[in-house]
Amino acid sequence: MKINRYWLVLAAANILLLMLTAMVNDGLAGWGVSIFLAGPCIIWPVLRLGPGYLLLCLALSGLAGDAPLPTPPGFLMTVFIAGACLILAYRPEMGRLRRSQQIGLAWLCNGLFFAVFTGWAILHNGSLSAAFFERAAVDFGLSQLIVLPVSLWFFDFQESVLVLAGLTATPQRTEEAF
Amino acid sequence: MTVKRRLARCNFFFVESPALASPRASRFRPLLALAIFVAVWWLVPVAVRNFSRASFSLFEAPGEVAYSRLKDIQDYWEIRDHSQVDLIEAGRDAQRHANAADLQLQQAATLEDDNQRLADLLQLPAEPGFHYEYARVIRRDETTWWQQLVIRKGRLAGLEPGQGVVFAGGVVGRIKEVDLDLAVVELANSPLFRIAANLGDDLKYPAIYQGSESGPFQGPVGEVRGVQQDVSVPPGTPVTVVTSSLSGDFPQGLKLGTIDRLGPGADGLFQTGVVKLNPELANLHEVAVLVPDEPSATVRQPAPAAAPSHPSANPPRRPGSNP
Repeated sequence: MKINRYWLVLAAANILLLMLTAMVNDGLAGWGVSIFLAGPCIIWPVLRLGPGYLLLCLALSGLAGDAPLPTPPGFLMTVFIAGACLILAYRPEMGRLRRSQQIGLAWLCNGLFFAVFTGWAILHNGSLSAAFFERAAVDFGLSQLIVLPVSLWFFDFQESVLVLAGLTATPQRTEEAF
Repeated sequence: MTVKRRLARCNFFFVESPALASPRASRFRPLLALAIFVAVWWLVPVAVRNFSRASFSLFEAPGEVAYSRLKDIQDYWEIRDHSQVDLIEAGRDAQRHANAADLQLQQAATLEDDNQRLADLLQLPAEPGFHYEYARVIRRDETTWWQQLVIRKGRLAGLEPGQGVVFAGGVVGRIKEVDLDLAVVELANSPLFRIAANLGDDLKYPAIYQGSESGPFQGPVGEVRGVQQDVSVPPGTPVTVVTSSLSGDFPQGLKLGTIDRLGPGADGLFQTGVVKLNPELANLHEVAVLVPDEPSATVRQPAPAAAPSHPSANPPRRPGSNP
């Protein structure tokens, strides 16, 4: 039986991006800032996978990214899937997006995810101090600034990995991705 | 019939042709799918959800450990690149520190003996003892939303949730989660970290310490609450905040941080103050976990000469000790 590798490759790329982000945050810990780069993770799966494999891809990458976080189990996965569903709901005809549009979408998703995590922190920790919002504003600005070049690199990286895995990386309809 | 056709029939793994569905229906379909997914996921028993998280943690743990060991190797080669003069100077400094530590150990042993003798005379109950379990820091995770460390020791080394974690500069935090060979430490600057504390080295002034968020590009901070009104901090002389034995997870007198001033609390009855924690808290490479000794190892045997004359005599209690 032929195993579909497309969604696995995209999920592995997502996990790699989340791990690299964690490594960068480890280095930034002494500076009192951090970055959050989850937005680009959902763009290619949404554009190239049908609902079933999209769910599998985002569930795998979401649960893997979720494991070291103090959020409830499945939180990142739910956020990923919610983001994907929102994109699909409002842009059902997005077969072909230019790279700049993909980056813009990643930028929007990243901001949305950041807001969701901040909302969770406020509810969970009761964080309402001025220092919390100052830090959130700086981290948000830094993340949104960095996500632009990172998205550009990440989409090229995904394309390269797909080619290396013997899969076509050109934009295509979701049905053909299988 | 091929697998692909069967799957196409169930119409789950494949996108339905736009011609078959109206644009309005196709817009709401993803949202409906999301609602169903969220409902199903949150209806799954908590045990199953926790199991999935634990499985992924265990799966990722070897990668984390390998990354940490690679960092150790990197540090090793970085040190090897230092000149011999640097190494000789570092060795000399280390020797001085070792000598000073030896002296302090001798003083500590003398004080410990005195303490033990007095405690025996007063028949005080034994305080919990701890031994240190040293662990390397794998990853520091200090974001807007949480402040934690991942360390390279876990259940196999006897670590349990709730145990205190310290370093040379004082308290680091408390263990929150434990895997087989990894543990997550809630840092002392996390708002979820809260313990009983004392102001000053004489342990007269009790307070409650809680971590708090710090602004960007600033060091870690916390907050003390419940400080009595008669306590004051002289300008220019910061007061040390130390742990209290009431916290249970830490021995008495470990440094948490310093406060420069106290102000009135929200209730007007007590004072509060901002605690500056050690800036090194954000740059730790190695920590020590306080693993409680077995109860039998800390039981004090009363000295025969100090036995009370009457069995019903009520011995005085040391402040903070449990009867």
